[in-house]
Amino acid sequence: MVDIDAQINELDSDVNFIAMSIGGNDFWDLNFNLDQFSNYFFEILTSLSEPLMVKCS
Amino acid sequence: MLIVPPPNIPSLFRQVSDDETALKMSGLFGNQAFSCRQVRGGELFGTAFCPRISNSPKVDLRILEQEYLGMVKAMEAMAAKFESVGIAADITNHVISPKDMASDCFHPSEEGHRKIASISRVFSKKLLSQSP
Repeated sequence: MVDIDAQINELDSDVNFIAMSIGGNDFWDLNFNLDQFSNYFFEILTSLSEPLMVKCS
Repeated sequence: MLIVPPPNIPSLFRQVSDDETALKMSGLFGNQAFSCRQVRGGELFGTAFCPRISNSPKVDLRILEQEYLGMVKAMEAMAAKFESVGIAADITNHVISPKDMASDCFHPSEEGHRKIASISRVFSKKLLSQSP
């Protein structure tokens, strides 16, 4: 059985780490469109990664 | 930042497409058992649970799986443009079995969540080992 707490403790505490699940709800939508999803995904990455990169620099 | 795409659900449904009892719900509604096809088709809740796959066998799960793999590839290509983003695209290669599914025939069970967490853990360690 996986010990989640032990796994979290293994991670380097100095690293800002976010795990996200993206795509599930979108893919199962009847109106799913790959191009639209890619644009949406790009926007998410841009909005999330820029603050992180600033924070890390 | 780690992005975890959804597991290969179309592949799972292809595995059990000829086995109506593989993901059977039982005990939740008295002693009556429902197949996943009935649940997805709306026979239990009155509305189709997941329209994109609910009318299988009309839906071609092979095409749906190709679309799913295409989506993850697109996510991987997009994530590669960002230095601080890693994507656990390897999740597409992991076999999801009926026991990984919750009784709603769609969301992960406790075991399924553990499998996804384990995949995420392995990838996160790899990601961290590569960071400067």
